[in-house]
Amino acid sequence: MRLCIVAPSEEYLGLAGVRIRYRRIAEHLQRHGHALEIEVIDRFRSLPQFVHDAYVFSKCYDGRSVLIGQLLRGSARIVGIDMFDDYFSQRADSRFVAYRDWLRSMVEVSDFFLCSTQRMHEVVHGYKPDLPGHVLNDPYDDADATRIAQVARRNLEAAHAQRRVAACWFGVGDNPHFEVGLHDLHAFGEALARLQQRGWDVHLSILTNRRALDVSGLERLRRLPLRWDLDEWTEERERELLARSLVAFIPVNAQAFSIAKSLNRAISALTAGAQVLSNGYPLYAPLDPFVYRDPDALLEDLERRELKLREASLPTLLGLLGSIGDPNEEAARCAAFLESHSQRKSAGAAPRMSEASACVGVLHGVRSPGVVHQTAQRLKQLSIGSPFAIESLNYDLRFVRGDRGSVVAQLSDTATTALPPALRRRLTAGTSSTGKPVHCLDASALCPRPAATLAPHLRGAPGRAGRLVAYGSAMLAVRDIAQALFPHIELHLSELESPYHAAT
Amino acid sequence: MDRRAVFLINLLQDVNIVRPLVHLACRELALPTHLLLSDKFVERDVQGTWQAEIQELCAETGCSAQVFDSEYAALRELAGWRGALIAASESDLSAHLQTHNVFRIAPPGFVRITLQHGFECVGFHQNRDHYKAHGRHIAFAADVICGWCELPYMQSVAPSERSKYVATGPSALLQPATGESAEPAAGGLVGENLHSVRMRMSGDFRASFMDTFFEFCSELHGQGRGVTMRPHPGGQYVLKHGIALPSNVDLNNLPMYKVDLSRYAYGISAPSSIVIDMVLAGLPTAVWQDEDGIVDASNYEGLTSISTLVDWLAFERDVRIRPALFAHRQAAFIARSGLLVDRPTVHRRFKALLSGATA
Repeated sequence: MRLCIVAPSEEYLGLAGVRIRYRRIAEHLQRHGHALEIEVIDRFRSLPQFVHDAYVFSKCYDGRSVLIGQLLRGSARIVGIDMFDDYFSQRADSRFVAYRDWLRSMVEVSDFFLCSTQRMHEVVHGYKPDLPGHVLNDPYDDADATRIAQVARRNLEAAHAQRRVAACWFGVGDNPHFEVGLHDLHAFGEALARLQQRGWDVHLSILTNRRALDVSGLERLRRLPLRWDLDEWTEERERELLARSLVAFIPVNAQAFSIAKSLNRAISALTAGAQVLSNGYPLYAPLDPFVYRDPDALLEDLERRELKLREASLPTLLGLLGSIGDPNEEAARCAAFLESHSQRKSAGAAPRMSEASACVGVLHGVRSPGVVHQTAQRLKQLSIGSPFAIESLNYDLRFVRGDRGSVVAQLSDTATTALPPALRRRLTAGTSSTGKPVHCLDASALCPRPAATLAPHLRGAPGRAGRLVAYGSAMLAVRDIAQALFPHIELHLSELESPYHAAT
Repeated sequence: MDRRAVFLINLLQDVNIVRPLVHLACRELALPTHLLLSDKFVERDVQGTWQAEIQELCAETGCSAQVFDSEYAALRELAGWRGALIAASESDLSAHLQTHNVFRIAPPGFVRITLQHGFECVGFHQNRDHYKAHGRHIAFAADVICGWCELPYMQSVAPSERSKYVATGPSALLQPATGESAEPAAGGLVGENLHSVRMRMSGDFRASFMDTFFEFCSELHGQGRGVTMRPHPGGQYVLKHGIALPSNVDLNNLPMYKVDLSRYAYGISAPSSIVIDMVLAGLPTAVWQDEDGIVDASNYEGLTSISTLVDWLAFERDVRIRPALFAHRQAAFIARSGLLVDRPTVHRRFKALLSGATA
């Protein structure tokens, strides 16, 4: 099987998450006779380019993934999503309406989903209970028992020699939506200070991303009740830091976003030879025998020179990791899951995939990236401008005011080819607001009621409040007219701005 | 962890305020001393004048200097050190954001010290227009705020900040002299602070001041005499707006510590800290106020007040024929204002503060 991970951008390919989640299992998949490739979504310019057996969208939270999923749905290819950030379960949080709408659309065009944790599994199942899902644990890099034992022993001896606990905190220090990272370190940092007793000194080394080091992040660090040093995160620095740290401090808060996180950070620390101290939400419970919840327990074990992670306990650790992060095991389980769904789909309905036969419309809302419009047109589908969308794009269908308050549909050449012959005969020539020649059709005559609903919203941009009030009814009117024009159209909303919502 | 004194410099006029303390830290206390310049400071110093002053200060004292462009960059300069972190302009106002934020993130081993940077100064001793523009509750990220008078004279220190207050007196009293040439200057010195919030908050008084100044110059010209104008170091209104000055007007745009005020026969200014500099230098000094008395000059009450051309000319004449009048009037003003003007006292207090913070 050829598996393609579809990434949102070139920058995304350089992120640690991509390395951890996909590149670590790639070679193991190959050993099982499968291939994993990663492609940026914008590289797909036409349907014949979709040559893989399975497509998994990773963090492609916009209309492009829905459009491509819809087009591939009727083919022999299987389509899925990989879910590891929880922006979807906060149902009372209006900031994430666009995310939730995206997932609602995406589960409808997907054959399966992958996710990083059981918690994410539950979240996605909440959207579509019968969608098959598989937990692909974040695989670890390397778990060499000899090296882990050596590092753990060396750091224990170094700690005793100086009565000094070398602690570290590493990872992404901020999030645009949630208080995580350095917030957690600050909020739970008192646990580290509790290690400073019985003559023990504690020094904390922090590695995090530059963006988190703004005034509020740094101000939080200033209030930590112990000495610390700070550097910007790189993969190499993380490796070096973990190798010289007696303990990795990984506190977890109980927000929905945080409790859906993978075990990756704790596994990275343990496989590097560091003890793990984690207070707050018990995210790392599956690694329980190796995770300190209480600094006093760590201190006692330290005094006794019998820490949780030591040579004698390594067989237990490796056994545990075998079921939650062994790259070979994870690759095998993932491949088996995908193959079973691929075979099921191949045995089902006859493939139907051609640009000519499909008629998918992308309806652009208040904030719909230009790339979604471009992708729709490259794949020979219809890009439809709503009254709230960017004016300057050459949509395949848009609506303008006609005489005496009527609504006129302006269509591109591509759009006219999808029209039923009877409607094609009613077209007249016109010019769009961008100066392009277009074909015009009296939408008020074709669909009087939706057109009457739509007409007041074509008078120019109202303020945000006005848009919020008008959005739902205007989008439904556009949907009704589009369906009257193209009876077989499958319509998707492209909207990144919350809380605009329309049940198209 | 080694100790050091670090001075944060953000506004152009900060250099004048911290300079005496840089000398004190380096020369008397032999502290390793570092100047942290905000990128905004460099941006504001279009002519490079103040960066040249910084270089000179480094050469004079042996201190080092570094520009920072973010809180993280400043932290990297401070990490691993302890001591005193001193800023001339720091508060929670947006104009002081750079220094305020560095104070917020400074390692706990630093005692953060904010200096009063003018006679009338937000958070310390405000005028009516400060209140209108910024309100009554100015807060500092500093641990210690240093004012020019004893606390009872400081009407604008917010209740939350009062426990941080230390009366040191103005740092300018400790300014090591560099002075211009000792030749007597012709005539008086007129200070311009047209950029000030005071000159535009309750009305636009800039034209009123300049019109009277031009008429005054014209009168002096008729008598074959001249005058020197000094733009505010941060505002530079006359220069920035390319205002043409009469031929009998000299321009003095040197840092205040390079100006020998005693060369001048008299001083005139709208309410501004330069008035205090003039008074302390023993210059007969007049405070300009608009004819309708809208510009708030109440903090300078007791000094000679002038508005119209007739007032300006009368003051200039009185300086020539009755100079003793001003000495008496100005001594009474200083006594009433509560300003700490005894140089040894000011020196002792700053020295004790810096020694304590870096002990």
